[in-house]
Amino acid sequence: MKFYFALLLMGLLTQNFILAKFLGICPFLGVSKKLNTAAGMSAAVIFVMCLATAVCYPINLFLESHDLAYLQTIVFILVIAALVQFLETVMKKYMKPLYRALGIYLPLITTNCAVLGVVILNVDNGYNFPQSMVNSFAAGLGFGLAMILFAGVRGRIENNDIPKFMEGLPITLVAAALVSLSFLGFTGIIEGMGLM
Amino acid sequence: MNKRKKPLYQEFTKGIIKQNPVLRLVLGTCATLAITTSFVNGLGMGLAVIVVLVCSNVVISLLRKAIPNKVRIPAYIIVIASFVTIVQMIVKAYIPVLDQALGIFLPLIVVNCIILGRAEAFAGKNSVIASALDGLGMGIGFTAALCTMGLLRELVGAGTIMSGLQSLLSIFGDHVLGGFDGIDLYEVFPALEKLSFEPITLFLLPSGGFFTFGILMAITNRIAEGKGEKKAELHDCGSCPMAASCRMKPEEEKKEESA
Amino acid sequence: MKKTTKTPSVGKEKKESAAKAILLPALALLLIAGVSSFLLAYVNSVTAPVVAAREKEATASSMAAVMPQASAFSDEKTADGYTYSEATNDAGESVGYVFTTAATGYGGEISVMTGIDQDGLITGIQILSINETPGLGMKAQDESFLSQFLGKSGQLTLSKTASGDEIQALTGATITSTAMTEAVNAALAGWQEITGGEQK
Repeated sequence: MKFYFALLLMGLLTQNFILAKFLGICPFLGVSKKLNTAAGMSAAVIFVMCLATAVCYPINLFLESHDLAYLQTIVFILVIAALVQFLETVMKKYMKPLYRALGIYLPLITTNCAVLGVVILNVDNGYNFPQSMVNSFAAGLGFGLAMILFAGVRGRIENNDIPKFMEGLPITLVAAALVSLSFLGFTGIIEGMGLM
Repeated sequence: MNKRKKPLYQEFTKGIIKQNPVLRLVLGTCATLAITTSFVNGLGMGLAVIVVLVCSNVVISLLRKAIPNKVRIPAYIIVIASFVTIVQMIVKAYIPVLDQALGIFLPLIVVNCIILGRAEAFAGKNSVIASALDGLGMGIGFTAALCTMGLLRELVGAGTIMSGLQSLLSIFGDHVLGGFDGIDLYEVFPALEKLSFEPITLFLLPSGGFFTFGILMAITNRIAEGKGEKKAELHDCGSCPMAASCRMKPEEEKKEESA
Repeated sequence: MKKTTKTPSVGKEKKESAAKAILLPALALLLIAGVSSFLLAYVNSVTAPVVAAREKEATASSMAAVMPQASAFSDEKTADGYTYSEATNDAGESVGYVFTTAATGYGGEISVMTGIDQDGLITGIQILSINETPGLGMKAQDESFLSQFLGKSGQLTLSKTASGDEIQALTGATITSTAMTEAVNAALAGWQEITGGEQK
């Protein structure tokens, strides 16, 4: 139980996918302009991450038992791509409200390295099934937290006068640096709470 | 380089400065930020991407008439993933130091938007030679940006320049470039230590990555503006591989219309 | 997944062409995937032995480094939390054990090899894999940090201002230092378990 809580805290704070691991930077910079799009994207990412982990875990067991571990990358990315496409179709047909909320973000998720990243990390760390699921969920939550926090920061930036040469992407990146710096403050929280 | 027609030559050069994938098109930001803690890591990542990019561009260009349009994205992904895995295996076998340094970002080259983006925007429509040159140019542009970032962060963050270069060059032999293995500023200028001058480790941390990238971006924007080009901006859908299936843009416009 | 995406949009009268529209792309994909799998299998068959040989060589040289007085090592055995092998000298007498242990640092797992002699003293320590922050945690590889462990026994404690038998933590890299100490302590505990703590 302790370990699951540690996983959750790691994904959310100390090992935050965006701010500490640099996974999923494209959507972080691209889709965080408005709060509602940031939230929608995050929800879609959490959903796909958990689903991808659930599907990839048994597949990986099969690959490893047949000495095919070298096919991991290619199989995982194909599974994710297929999964996203499938999800989109199913949602479009049977879950209209959910599709309207999350559907538009789905195609962008295939090339989101956070999703493939979490699947590979689960395998690399040798997590078992429940640990993988918790880790994926935590990573997704952490992604969401960073996205939503940053959407707020960007809202503030837009209302300010910025030196001309820093306008646009440069100031966004510097702001991201500050948000990332603040997350550095959580370092050691897991060890401090005696969870690890 | 052979003396070819001018357009072909331009396919090669455009990626290096004018359409630099990192600083102008803002692609592949994850790898750019994550592994540029040293010059050598940046160079290693860049070389890996060049290999994958050139190979996948050539193969996709060769197959461009055989791949049905409907499944071209999955087909591209398979081709790219295969080359990534091959590079991964070779690096693991012959340059284990690089394998450790790049870690998860080596397999993640698969989802590096530069590669899928070039496949979709260029290799799927152009001849083999043009695609190879395009891949090479884009790859070199990517490597140059990564090396610059790595050099800056390493210098400010650790006080060294190109340290550990030999471990990367060891594939080419034992004593390449006269055994040059980087410069440690503290060895060159012992006075630094006496003044208890510490490097700014922050630059090696994630936060420093964002910061360095932001400053580099500001500089390139300034130069580009001086030449009358527009600023680098994310969401330039032209360079995004998912543009065809993505409905972000129209959706946002629709909302604005109805509002 | 291809079927679900395409069938609804195609009318009944176009069934034949629909089959073609589904079959052809599927076949093309299958072909590409097949060719690439073969290619990967081939490259893997070439590189896998190289990787294995390199790992073996690395293990052997690390073992020799952490236990210089030994000339031969038994095959590695796995126990709970560590793997170990017995070290013997030229005369075939046991001179100690070499342990491989791991602990989680700031940037992932740190794997450490520790040599412990008959008296329970650490003879040498080598980092097998580490991925910490350059300039901070990576300093764990420095000789000045590693040499602190030499000749120690029992269970080690970490401290920011080391005195006596304590291990001095790296500045700004407490997590890495803790992980290193943990890994070495796991090896020391393993030694206790194997030898029953008797010092010959």
